[in-house]
Amino acid sequence: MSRFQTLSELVRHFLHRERWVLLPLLGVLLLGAVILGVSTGLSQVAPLVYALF
Amino acid sequence: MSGGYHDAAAALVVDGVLVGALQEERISRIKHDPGLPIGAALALLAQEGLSPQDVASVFFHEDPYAHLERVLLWSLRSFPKGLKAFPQAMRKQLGSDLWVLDSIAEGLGIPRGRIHKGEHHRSHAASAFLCSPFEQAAILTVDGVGEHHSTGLWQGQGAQISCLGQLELPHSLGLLWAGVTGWMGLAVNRGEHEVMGLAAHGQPRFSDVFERWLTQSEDGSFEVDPAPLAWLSDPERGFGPAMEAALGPARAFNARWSLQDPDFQLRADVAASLQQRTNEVLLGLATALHERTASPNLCVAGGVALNCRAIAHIQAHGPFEQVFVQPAAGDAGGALGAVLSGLGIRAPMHHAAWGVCCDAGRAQDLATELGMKVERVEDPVQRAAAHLAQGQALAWVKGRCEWGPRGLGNRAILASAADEALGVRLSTQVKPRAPFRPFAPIVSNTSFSEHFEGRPDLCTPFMTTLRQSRNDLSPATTHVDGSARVQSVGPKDALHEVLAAFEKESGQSVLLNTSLNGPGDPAVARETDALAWLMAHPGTPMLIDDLWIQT
Ligand SMILES: [Fe+2]
Repeated sequence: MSRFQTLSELVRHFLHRERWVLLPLLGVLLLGAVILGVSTGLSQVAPLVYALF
Repeated sequence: MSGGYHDAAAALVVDGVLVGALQEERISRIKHDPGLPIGAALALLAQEGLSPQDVASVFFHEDPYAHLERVLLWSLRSFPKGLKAFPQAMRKQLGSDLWVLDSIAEGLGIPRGRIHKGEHHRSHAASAFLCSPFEQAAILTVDGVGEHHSTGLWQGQGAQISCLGQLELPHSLGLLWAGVTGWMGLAVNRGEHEVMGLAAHGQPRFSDVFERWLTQSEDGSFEVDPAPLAWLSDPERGFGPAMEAALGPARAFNARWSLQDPDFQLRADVAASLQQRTNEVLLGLATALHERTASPNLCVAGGVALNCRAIAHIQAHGPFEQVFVQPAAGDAGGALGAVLSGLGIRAPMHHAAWGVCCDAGRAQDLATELGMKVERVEDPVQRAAAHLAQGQALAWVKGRCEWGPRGLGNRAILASAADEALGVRLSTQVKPRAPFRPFAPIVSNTSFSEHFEGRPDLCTPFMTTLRQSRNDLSPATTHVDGSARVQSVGPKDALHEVLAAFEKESGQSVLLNTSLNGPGDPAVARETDALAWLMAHPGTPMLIDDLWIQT
């Protein structure tokens, strides 16, 4: 599973300095994403606006 | 590679040499394709006789983790205003953007370990500096937002780029432009260049408003008042009620433009005010950068660097001797910057023909099959010049398609710049566009100063600056304020001979040159796109190398 590399890089990024405060939020969201992924498939979502998201 | 948001692109380096660069839209045929540039990468590889398995490393132009962090942070900071856009943002972040490096590996069918992340503004900086002719330079990067930053001050030396300072959200020139673009009824992130074109029609009578919204300190750093903007609560429009209170009601989205509209002057005056303030702030940044680097050379990149009015302003009033803006200055350029900085190499850019070829042989077979009139001509240059001298437009296709948003002489619609009526016909029938946007002129280096102020420089071959016209010989390509986004061509450029032959035939040395595409379409890349354009535009002949085709 190559996605483990992304997950470990992601966790390493958020463990850095003050970013760890975002980890719980990220955990909840990722869990949601997994459920979303299982139920609907993780498809490319067309961005309505490039600027921020 | 760059992609995932806007203008996906790929650039290919083989054995330390840049061999190609291409936007995904030219392959997928989706204008400003926001996906991943897998099609572009495969096309570039195939052109070199390579397969994805030959790829040692892929450098992505930004850091998906830092990007996600910014979206999370701003969603928290803007609570509860940002709540509306939050679910959608998260779906996009967690559904695709976070896994972008995996998607690239899967798209190319290569191990994930070969894909490396970059840094958005560093990629922009590299895209300008490492393609410039300068051994050392000051570098300014300005856009909407990268991971966290909207603006960067850098210094380049050899193949090294060091950061001198960056500005973070919400202070962003690109997002201010996005907001005003939304207020104009234009698509955010697409219509900004139309606002720039509109500015020439206006007077900056709202300068006090923009001075209030966009303030600058002595050290060049600036702040943007978030009140008139709404990129979190209303990302599709980008502006909020405070903008309407100050400037008047917004235009309806996608409403048709007319110079006779009662509120046309208001819109033009707002555009002129924003443009003027942008010029001042970018000049302030450039001046501060010059004080810190003492370099005579400046490179500019990022979406805001596509504002050729502001670049011309820096050139005219700034402290730098030379300014360079690469043709794909926006996010597409990030692909080029990512690979060059990832490998630590330089690739000074002398032309923009880095894309895919149009195969005249295949075009001939295809055109014949489609029942078009096809003819091999002995002297294509002479034939083109004679046709143009008769006051006719010509679709011109030669070599590889251009890198960046501008048609720079390899995929072009050409016409006499002196023929104002033909210009009007082109802008209403062949290439419909807002009535306030002029076409661009193309002229040889030797005739440049006769028609335009100053001399050709590092930006004029790539149309990344503006010049004032010296005469009224080119009404079809001169803006209402006398400016023109002129392209200069040297002896090695494809259109040089055509310009010379056209001058012999007609006594005129300036041609109108606009990118070869239909309304809303990306520019033509390959023979199938070229013939599709021809079918949609009967009446204008096309020259592909020595192949003269008519429907
Ligand atoms: Fe950017």
